[in-house]
Amino acid sequence: MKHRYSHKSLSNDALTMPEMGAILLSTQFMAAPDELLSLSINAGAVAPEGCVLLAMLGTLIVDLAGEKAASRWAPPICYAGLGAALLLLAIQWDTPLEPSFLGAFLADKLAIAFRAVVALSTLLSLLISWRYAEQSGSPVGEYAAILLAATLGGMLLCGSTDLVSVFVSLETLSVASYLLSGYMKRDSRSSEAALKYLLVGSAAAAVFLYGASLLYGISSSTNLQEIGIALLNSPTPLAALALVFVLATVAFKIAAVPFHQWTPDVYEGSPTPVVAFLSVGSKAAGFALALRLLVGCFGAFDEQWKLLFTVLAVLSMSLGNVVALAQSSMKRMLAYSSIGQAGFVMIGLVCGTEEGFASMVVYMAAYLFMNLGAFACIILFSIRTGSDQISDYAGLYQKDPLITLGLSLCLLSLGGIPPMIGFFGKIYLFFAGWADQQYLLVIVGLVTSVISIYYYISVIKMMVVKEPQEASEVVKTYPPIQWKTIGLPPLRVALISCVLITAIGGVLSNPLFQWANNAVAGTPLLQEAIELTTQRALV
Amino acid sequence: MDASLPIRVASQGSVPWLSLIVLLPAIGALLMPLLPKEVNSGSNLPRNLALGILLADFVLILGVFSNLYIPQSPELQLVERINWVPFIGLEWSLGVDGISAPLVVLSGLITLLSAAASWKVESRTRLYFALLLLQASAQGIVFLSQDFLLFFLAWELELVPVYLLIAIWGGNRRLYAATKFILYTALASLLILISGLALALSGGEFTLNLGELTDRSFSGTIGILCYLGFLIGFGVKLPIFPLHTWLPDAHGEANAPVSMLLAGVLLKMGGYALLRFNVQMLPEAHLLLAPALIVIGIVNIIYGALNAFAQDNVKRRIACSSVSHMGFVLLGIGAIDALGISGAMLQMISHGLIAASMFFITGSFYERTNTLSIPNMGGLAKVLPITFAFFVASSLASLALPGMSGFISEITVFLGITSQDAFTSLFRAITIFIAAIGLVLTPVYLLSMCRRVFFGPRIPALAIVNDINPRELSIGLSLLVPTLVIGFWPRVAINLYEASTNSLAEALMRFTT
Amino acid sequence: MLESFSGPVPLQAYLLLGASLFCIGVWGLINSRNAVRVLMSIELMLNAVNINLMAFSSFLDGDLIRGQIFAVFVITVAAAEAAVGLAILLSLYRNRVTVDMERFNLLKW
Repeated sequence: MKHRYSHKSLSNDALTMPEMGAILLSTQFMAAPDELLSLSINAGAVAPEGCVLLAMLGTLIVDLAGEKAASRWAPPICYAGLGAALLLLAIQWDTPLEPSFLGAFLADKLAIAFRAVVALSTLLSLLISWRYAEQSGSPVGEYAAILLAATLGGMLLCGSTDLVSVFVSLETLSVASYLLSGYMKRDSRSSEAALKYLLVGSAAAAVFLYGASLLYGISSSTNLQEIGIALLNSPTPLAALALVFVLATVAFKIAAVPFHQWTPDVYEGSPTPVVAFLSVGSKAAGFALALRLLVGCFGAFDEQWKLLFTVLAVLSMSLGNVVALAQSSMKRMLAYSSIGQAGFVMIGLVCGTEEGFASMVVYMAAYLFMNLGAFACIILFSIRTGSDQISDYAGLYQKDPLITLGLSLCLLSLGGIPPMIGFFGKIYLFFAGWADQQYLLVIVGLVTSVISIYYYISVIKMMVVKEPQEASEVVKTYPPIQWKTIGLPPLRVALISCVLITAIGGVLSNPLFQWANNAVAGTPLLQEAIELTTQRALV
Repeated sequence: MDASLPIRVASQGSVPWLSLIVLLPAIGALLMPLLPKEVNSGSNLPRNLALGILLADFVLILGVFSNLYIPQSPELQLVERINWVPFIGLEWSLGVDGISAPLVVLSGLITLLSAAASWKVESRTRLYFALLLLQASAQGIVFLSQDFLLFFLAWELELVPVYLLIAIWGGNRRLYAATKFILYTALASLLILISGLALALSGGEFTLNLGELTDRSFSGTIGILCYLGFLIGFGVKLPIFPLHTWLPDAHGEANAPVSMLLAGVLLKMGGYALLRFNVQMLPEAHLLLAPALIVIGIVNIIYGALNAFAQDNVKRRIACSSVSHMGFVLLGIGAIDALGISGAMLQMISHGLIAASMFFITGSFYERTNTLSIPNMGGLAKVLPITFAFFVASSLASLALPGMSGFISEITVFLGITSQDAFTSLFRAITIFIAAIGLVLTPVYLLSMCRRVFFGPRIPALAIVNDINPRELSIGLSLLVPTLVIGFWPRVAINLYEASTNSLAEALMRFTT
Repeated sequence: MLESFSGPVPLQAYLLLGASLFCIGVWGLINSRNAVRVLMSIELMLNAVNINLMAFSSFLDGDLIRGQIFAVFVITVAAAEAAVGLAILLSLYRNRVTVDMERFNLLKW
């Protein structure tokens, strides 16, 4: 075990150290203070986050000027901030890699890809939020500011390479998410969802911290890479315990079964645009964290965490998709389906090959558009009718073809029906899994995606197949469609662009695949892990 | 899997004819939503557009196949290869050989006629014809694709259109039938994907190109496992006993044009895929398992026929007869010689025409009587003499009357089995004997249905109906005339595919020695 | 083995204290019906972590005191979390007039 992996900065005597060294740190990793200071801060790496931060402050300031000013100015400020962030991320793509903040943050391509997914999901969630927030009578400015804070946390989390920065950004994301899910102050369901989310989330954070403190004790360092090296030198049972603690938190963040219990409740109670963000942005950040921690830090426990994640993935895919069958609420169904979808992404994580990681990135990007497209449709429906029940969608074809078409395409894509983008993403995941001989995972994935087709198509059946006389009461009294109301034009933009990308993006998906492969190829962390995997395969 | 490969077109001519053939209907489907919304559901515009596009497509198919396609060559022709998503091995790779050519012509004809037969579809016509066109594209890609993933994509693509066509415009139990159809097909495609993946990843470099996969030999367990996966996956479509239970429901509940499409084209996709994958790609496993295929075929023939007796619904009875007839396709494929495979091909073509015409006639008198239940009908012959004539004619074709295409194909299958020396003579004798029983059962249930529907006391409720109109007459004739032509002059059809089936059989023979 | 770190109190003692505090926190988290007590239990868990961090920092990390810095961050974030938690609890209390966890059953748990 110990000798399979060697690192450049590792001298041989580190391997022959007595068992004591498990807890002790060998002196060569301890950089002297003056050495640390000589490292440049390289704050440019977090310029995109800076833009988001500025947008957040700007939104808070206009919020002070009253609600009118806030609803007038908050949207453009948010667009500008997120747009600038995305632009800076694109510029960062080709800059040489250099750690920032004394090794606490690393803007490698993996981080950039996941940060882009998070920022884009916020942008789309914001576009679909305005009308919803306006209608529920909550201040728009505050809402946008908290969402931006969550984004800030999520983006930082994608690039964090130090336990402290991981913890701080994780909590920024989490605390902002608690606030968001409790944002409908007068709705006791919303508050209840927020409290449950908060309690479970903080407990998970505490568990993570306990694991982190053990890791710190083992390696006397908080830097993930250094911890990884220390663990390779001496994979003690204590380190395995820390792995379990940390893994539980990661599983909680990506809502893997059996750490999923919070998801359906939180998704059902929270305001729908928030659910849209949580199901995509927060989850993407969770996967980035999983890659950083498990791949980057627990290389020594490669087989163990892969085994655990195989179990989690199988459970998530089966439970998420099977329980989704029985749901009558649209939001709850999407909540369970998102658990299942996370299970699919985990296939790529478990593979640990070039294709595995690339397929994760591809699927996350595809999932971003198809899931947010579906959410845009159900938000529009609930704005017009105030309902989330699947049975209320009966006969919608007659009254609102746009929602029907958009929701149908997005759900088919989630179910993996060609030629939608989800099909290509899923196929890539399954190919990667099969090539890495994860037969169980691929077969479970295929079977559960057939199950998922069943419940997705039953929604489509509800909307498209029902005759006008079978339409639900809600649809019979459907309000006339108008797009002039404040907040609806951005929603339409988001809806149409998501649906278009979902429908056509699959056919034109080659650039996406190329991009994902570049991202993986340009990330040293992942390349090392791939090398390790191939070495193991050869042995 | 090389991402930097430039896009290359290796088409023989400068015009990508095959792409044009498969993409034309899809373009039409995309145009459908742009048509003005039907104000009071009487607009003919969607139907006319669909008919125009399908007619143009059919003419294009005929033109391309008669001028550019060389039937004497067993090679893959008119090949087009464009890299699409190289990371998952997806290629836009089309090509035509003898196995696909007749089926493309058949599916072009049947789709055109089923669009023409959709006269009575008055609600949501834009959606209906858009789905029909999408389905036409998907089946075209299935028959012409030379890339496994493209094939699979098209195979899955036709899932949703057919589901919706059954679920929206079908009969009373349409939702049940449609759901059953989609679950069966989706589960089956799962096996197809796994088998294809296993083949692509075993034995050398990752490839999904059908030609390259054929050139490899898959021996041992992996070949047999993949063969079984494909057999079950495609067997659901074909259908083979006991995976057929979706078929009577789907065919029975769909409206007549969709039933035509299901029986005329969708079942052939199963047979085509069996030939393309099981026989062409896995010859060793096929030689090993061919007797099993024959046994399944016999069970299909007998079971389908016996099941047909039990059906009180005209369409369900025809659907069960389809199960029985597709058994002959299995027999032919299992015969592993040139005659048998040729018979299987001909049986697919002939059954496509005959089943479509039977469903069409059934639909035409259903429009008049509003019932499909055999006990509720009677005495229709006097009111609907031409319909009666048509129905009897297609029944006769279906029961393999000499002079009709069914006779030629079934006799070829029999000859194929008897001339196959690889089987023991006892096995051959039993096979022929049982299949002959099936052949005898067919006239019994078909003609008894004719008698009960068209003769006997007239049911008063069905008093006032008009006979068939010229439009229906011409559709019916366009299905029956080819049946007769093939019946008297089978070379018309056989020439199209003979070179390919012969080379397929030769390839199989090479493995026996 | 750890005796070599001679001091008035060995490292294990601190770790033991941390572990038991953490367990008490988990126990409280699972068993409390009152939402405020649940919040307090979480605070207890976080403080257990702080003890761990401080112990490791002073025993193992020499001059770098990274554990102490970490602990400061934990304290700060814990305060923010508690503030948000109490705010959410307050808004829930306004809606439901109770802080009993078992009455929060509008959502299928």
